[in-house]
Amino acid sequence: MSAPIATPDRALKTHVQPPARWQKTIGSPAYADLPPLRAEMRRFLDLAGIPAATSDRYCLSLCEIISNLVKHPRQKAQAVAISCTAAGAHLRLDVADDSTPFASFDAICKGAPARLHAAGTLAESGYGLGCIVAQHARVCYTSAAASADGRNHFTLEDGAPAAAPQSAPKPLVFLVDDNPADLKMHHRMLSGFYDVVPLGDAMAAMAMFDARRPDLIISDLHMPGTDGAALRRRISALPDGDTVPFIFLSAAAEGMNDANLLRLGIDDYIVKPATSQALQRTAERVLRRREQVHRALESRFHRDVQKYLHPHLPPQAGRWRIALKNRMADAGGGDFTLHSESEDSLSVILADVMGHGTEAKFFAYAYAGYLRSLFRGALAPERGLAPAAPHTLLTMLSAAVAADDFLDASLLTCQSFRLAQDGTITIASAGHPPLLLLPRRALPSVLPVAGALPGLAGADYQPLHLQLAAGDKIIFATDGFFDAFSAEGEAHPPAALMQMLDACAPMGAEDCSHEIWQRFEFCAQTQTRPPDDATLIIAAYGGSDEHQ
Amino acid sequence: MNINNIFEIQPAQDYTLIRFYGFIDASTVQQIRPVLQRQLPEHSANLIIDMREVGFLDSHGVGLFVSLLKQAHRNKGHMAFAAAKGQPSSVLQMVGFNGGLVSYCPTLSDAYALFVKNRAV
Repeated sequence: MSAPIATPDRALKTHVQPPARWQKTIGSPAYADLPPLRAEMRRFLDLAGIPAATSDRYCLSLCEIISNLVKHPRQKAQAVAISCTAAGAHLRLDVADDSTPFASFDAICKGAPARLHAAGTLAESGYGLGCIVAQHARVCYTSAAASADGRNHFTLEDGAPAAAPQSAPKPLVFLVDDNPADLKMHHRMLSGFYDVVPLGDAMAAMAMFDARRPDLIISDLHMPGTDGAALRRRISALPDGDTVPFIFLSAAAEGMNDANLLRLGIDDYIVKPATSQALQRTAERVLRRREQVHRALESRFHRDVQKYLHPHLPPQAGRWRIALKNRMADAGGGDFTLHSESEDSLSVILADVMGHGTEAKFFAYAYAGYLRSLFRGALAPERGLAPAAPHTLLTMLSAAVAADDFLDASLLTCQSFRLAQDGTITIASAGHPPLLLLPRRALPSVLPVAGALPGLAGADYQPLHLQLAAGDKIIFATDGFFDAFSAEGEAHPPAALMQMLDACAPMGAEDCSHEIWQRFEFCAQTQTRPPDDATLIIAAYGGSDEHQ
Repeated sequence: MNINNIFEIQPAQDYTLIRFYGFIDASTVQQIRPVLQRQLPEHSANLIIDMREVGFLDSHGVGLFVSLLKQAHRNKGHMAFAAAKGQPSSVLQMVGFNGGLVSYCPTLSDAYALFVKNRAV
């Protein structure tokens, strides 16, 4: 049952003052809340003078966030507080809730705190999140453990804030000591620089750790009951607990060389009585080091993901010359390739996941994982198995997609082909655009290869066999490539592309790809559609480069 | 909620027209999906999605269109969005249905012509 919605007129008229703000609190959210919430927020945005297109984006994002809260959390939200602020060009929407946090959201969103979390489930990152992230300049998800008020916050922002941005929140430090005098003194030393939570024993620290995730723990080593070393061990055993830096305080200097303590992975050791300067400098150094490590890990993570998905093929495979051009439209991409080379052939999968940006990236990553495992299992020449034919691979992929609800909700087109050293090509297609044959001494032609989208029950993929002569080329491409040449609604391949291919017939793979790609980039600049990933693969048989 | 106020199906010789009204979002798709699956002729190949009266589309609506596209494709047909405008048009552009699989027609007449023309060819 949806929560009652306040009459919008009265609420809005009283709130629309510069900076205009609309606030709304509802109980446990339901899908039925969406239309009235959307109407109320749109009304507010209209009154605040926000352009309709921007208003559309915020209404969509609000719906996606609330839908996620209805559908996904293990423990449903009991209260959701929505706050939307408009001040000049700056627009901000904050949705706070008390549900189970989404483990992976803060690592997904742009502008998330620079900290890595254990990977969440991909199921948490469906279309809705993709829609949200793609639409706003800044998107941030802060889970309850990391937020100041103990609630999850989804925050979207566009435009520059009218006022100077608030200073960054102070790092959260747990200070644990059973000696009240020391606890008070150290609290005073640190409180000007950090958000310090004083805690009288290890058990209190454990309890607080569940509610608020600290950036640093400074703990007395010797305490009755659970001592500092045991606290460190217990924190380390929690998810992500071992990433929280830890400093020991102790009156006993010999502890600094205690091998058992060093094995706990502590970050520093301060001998009591600690001076204000020593305590502050040590805390600052440890926190800075932690940030450096996190940034390095995050950067490596993004680099690895990009590298994994970025289409690439070897420039030569036996008698085949191969040229590949690719445009990644934004931070991620729906296009990717996989390949496997054996003595007598090169097997390739070219895939295109529907969507843009982060959303497509996640699905592409999931699909690439499926395909890679199929590829390795099916081809595995090192195991002496016969390579699976392209159409067999697509049948296996289709069955895997059909059995997986998550992948089945997405859309993928895919082409699988094998280039053999005798000039034969075997091709199978799953909903992919047609391929183009560019003979050295004949007009270019279109080769439609029929095949159902992956995931359809009973999909049966038929192979197309071709024999190429020396100098012949074959062109594989994704939708984003063809779209650049197409008028709205025009079927693939577009006429404008076919007209230029004739001139490319005498060229080698690399020159041909260069020529076509230049034209592609020119055409892409004039497109009004959002940029899509685009991939072009040209395979020339018989060393056609030498025939130029 | 009366499902008949959200969509209607009009089978024709060369295509099946599905006309949606109002909001195609999380609040309606759950109800629409099973009814649509039941009412849509099993062998519908070419689908025209009439978007003229759609005021709002979210990711759940996109998911519904993905399943319709898969049905069209299963029956070796094609899908066309007709007369999408405003917010629904922006969402369709954003999620990027592959251009080779669907057509975007500015008017309903263009969508009709697309399938009638294909028959003529």
